[in-house]
Amino acid sequence: MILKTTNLKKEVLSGNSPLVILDDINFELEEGKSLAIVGPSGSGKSTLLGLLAGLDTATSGEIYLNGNALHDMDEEKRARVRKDNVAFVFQSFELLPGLTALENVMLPSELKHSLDAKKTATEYLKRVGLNDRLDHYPRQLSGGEQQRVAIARAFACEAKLLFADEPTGNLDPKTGEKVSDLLFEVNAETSNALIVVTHDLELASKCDEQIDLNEGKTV
Amino acid sequence: MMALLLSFKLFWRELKSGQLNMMLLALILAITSVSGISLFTDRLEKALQLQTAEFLGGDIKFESNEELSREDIVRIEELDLNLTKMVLFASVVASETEMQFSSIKVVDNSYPLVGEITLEPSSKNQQPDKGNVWLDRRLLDLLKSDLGDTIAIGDADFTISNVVLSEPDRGSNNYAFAPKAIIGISDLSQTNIIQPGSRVRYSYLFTGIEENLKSLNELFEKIKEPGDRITLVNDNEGSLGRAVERSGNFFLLGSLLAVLMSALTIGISSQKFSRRHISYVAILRSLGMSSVNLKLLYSYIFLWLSMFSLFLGLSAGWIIQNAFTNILKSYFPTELPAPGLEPLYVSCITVLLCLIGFVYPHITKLIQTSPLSILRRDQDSSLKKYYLYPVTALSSMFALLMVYTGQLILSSVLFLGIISASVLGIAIIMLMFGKRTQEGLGASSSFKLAWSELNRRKVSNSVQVLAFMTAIGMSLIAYTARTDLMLTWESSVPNDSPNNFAINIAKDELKPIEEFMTGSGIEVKDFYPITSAKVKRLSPPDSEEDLLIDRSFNMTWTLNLPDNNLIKEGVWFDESNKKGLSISDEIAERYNLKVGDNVTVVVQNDEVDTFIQSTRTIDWESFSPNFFVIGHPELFTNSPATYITSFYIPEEKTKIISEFIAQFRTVSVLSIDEIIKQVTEIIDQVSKALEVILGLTILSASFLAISTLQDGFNLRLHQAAILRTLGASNKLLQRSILLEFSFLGLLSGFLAALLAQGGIYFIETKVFEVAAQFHFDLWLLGPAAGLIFVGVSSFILISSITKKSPKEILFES
Repeated sequence: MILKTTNLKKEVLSGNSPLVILDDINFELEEGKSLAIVGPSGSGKSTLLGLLAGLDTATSGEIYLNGNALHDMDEEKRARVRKDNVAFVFQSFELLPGLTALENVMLPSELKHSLDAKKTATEYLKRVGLNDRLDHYPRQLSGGEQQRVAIARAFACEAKLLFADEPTGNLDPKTGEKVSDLLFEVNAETSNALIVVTHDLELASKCDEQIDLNEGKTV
Repeated sequence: MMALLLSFKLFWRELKSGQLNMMLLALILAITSVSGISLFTDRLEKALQLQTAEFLGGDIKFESNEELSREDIVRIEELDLNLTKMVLFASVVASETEMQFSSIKVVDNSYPLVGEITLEPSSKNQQPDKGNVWLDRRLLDLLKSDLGDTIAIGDADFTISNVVLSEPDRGSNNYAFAPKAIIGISDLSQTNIIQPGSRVRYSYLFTGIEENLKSLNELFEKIKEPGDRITLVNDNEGSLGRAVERSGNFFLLGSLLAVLMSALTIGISSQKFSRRHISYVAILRSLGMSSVNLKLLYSYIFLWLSMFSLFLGLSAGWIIQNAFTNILKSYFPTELPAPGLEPLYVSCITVLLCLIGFVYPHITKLIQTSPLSILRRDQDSSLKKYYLYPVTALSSMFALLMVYTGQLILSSVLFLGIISASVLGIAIIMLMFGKRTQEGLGASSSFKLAWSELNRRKVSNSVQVLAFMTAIGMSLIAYTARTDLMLTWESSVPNDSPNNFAINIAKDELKPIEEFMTGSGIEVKDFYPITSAKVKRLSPPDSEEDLLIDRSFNMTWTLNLPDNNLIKEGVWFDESNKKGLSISDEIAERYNLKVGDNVTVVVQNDEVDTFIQSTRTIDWESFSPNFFVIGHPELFTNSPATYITSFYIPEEKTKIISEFIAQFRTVSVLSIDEIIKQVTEIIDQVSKALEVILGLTILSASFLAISTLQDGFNLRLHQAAILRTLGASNKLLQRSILLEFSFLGLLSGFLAALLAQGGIYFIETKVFEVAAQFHFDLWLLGPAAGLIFVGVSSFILISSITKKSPKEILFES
């Protein structure tokens, strides 16, 4: 079991009254499996992803990520869990503009004090078809290429669980399809678990499992 | 019209949403400090001027041995000024048992023009009634008299009605320090003292509007005869004139530094504003809005912003200066005058210059944003190489310097100083980090990450270093200038400086006086012979006739160079350099006398042929005997002279003066305790004002440094969130930021010390006109301030960033 949630709830204050964003979320994900979280805008998809990845804290409930009780941890401990277990692909790529494609992909390895950061990064960039773009800065790359760099960076984390937040949301359908194919291909090679938040039902259909969210609840 | 309405709507919405807070706050703070300082300094300067006027007794004083002619009086009356006339002379005052040589001051019905005379028993009278005399406490003691007793001055008898505790114009007249009696002008003729040939000094004091005072001064310059003297309220001569001038310079410097830092703060805020508005402009352009309309739209937004911030800033400035003046109010004997309109103009001009120089280029750049920016979330594509900002920012910085100093040389030196230190700072950063030495971000350790950030952010770090350098450097300049001023003043009034002068000492009294003083435990300084001498230049360069310089100088002869005198040119007397004269550099300059010129000194009926052997710089602010002309003693062995000496008598031993006067009746003792007290009081007040202004300068500096830091951290927010998402610990980020910014702080502090040392050198030599010093403390304070302030602030900022969850930053941006 790579991920398990129990009675997960997220509540925020809207003005003076509490607003429930997520309520009673329960699911489990096996290692190597993929899960799609779908639902209309405002249904709580991104909030759920934030909680599952340990980027945010729940109001109540439990989250176990690779056996780590995220709900009992402070930010420093969660950061350590993220470093060892989690990788991300964002809708808006979130590359560091001042770093080249290679340097962006080197980041996770650097954080793990790996001596092979450059070698690993080069290999993953090659794997996503960007071996001729290593020294390009994000602004010199197209949207599709930037997302491929982001995918390479995510796999360079060599994490057990990959989170992808609307990975094709900023791309045209053709590029989007290529990027999603690549994501699933590389994921299959690494036998990682994958959680995808998406509006795209075709992308969701590629996953092993699916959670439908509506107004913060599973349907 | 559409742009006007839209601009107001946008401005109002931005204001309500809080998006404009930073920019608005920066502008308001800038205007607050500018208006606060200028309103406050305006009032303070006016109050100081008033107090100095009180010390002098008026705005202009004209002294002469002759009364002004009827014709001159008529011309003066046309100028519509307030006038008081005093007659001053020395005479013997006799009580029933004692006689005392005293200073007599005769006042008219307009006396005093400025301030009030304080009497005991207290009285509202400002002039003695007919037949009455007012004495100072010392004269009353010397005459062994009491209130109500009768004394004689010349042929007239007077009743002692009051004791004078303080008089406003005590610093103004020649006999101010002698035991004093004041009588009314209607009693003067009955004394029969003033006869043809009597040594009398007529003193005329004036107050009125500046323009008319200027005309009066011009008139006096025309009618002035040898021996006449004109003193203006801000005359450089004397401690007080200098104190006011120098404090004025410091106020100006304080405002200037605050304005420059505020301008830079506004520049940083407007850069943030335009960065945030790139997508607005891109959308509006893609919807077809023309460049002209966009320009209009943003001009209007800034017009609203200016008006809004001017209103709030000026109000806050007014409140602040009111609070400051309330604190200082008790130190001023008179009500603080209302400020003029000038601070308002200065604030408006400052806002205009700041907007043109520091906001306009960002807005121009913003308007050039391509509509493509909304398609590619790529802000950098619109950030083309842009040279307008440095040009307008530097020009408006220079214009601000000119507005505040009104001096081309001072402005140019400050401007070039800032530019040179900036170039040096950039050069150091480029030399240290010009070549990238490592690949990747160096996120494996905090040291590597800090080093890599220093490497990668060369340009933005340079800007930050320059801003920190300016903030720290300007604060150091203000701090050192204040310390300099305080030290100069304090050293001009040392605690044990002589507070009494004995004059009119005959040669055969020297020894008995020395014995008397030594017996009383009083240390006597040197005895100087003193006489009045005229100098005749032989063979002047452009005339065949000898030229008699049209005034008499106080002259002495001694082998010892007096304290507070420095040889400027030539050499002081020694075995091989005899038979010459040493003259003050001011006389040398005024009468074009040079070392080596042959001159004849006329002392009474004797003529001595000699030459100029040296020129001296004299510290006229020191309270010790100073002489324009000093001769070699061998030249004047037979010249008639009396002697002068000075000594310090502590408060508890003041009775010695009465005993001294009783024993040496022909010697006059002049006490300068009162003048020292008054100067010390004024220095204390001014130093409080200096502290307030220093505080405001440091506040502006802190604001500049904090906004620079905040701007830098906004750019790092995104990076920190990504790194944390990838598992970087808060410790790694905090430590690397602390290391990076401590280095930047240290470098900025070092450059700031350099900037301050250069600036202070110029201020010392050209503005305050004191000897330049090397300030070791700057080289410790600068780097320490940089390290501590920048390091600690950055740690606080990064800690506030790491408190936010990365999801909040990334998912909601």
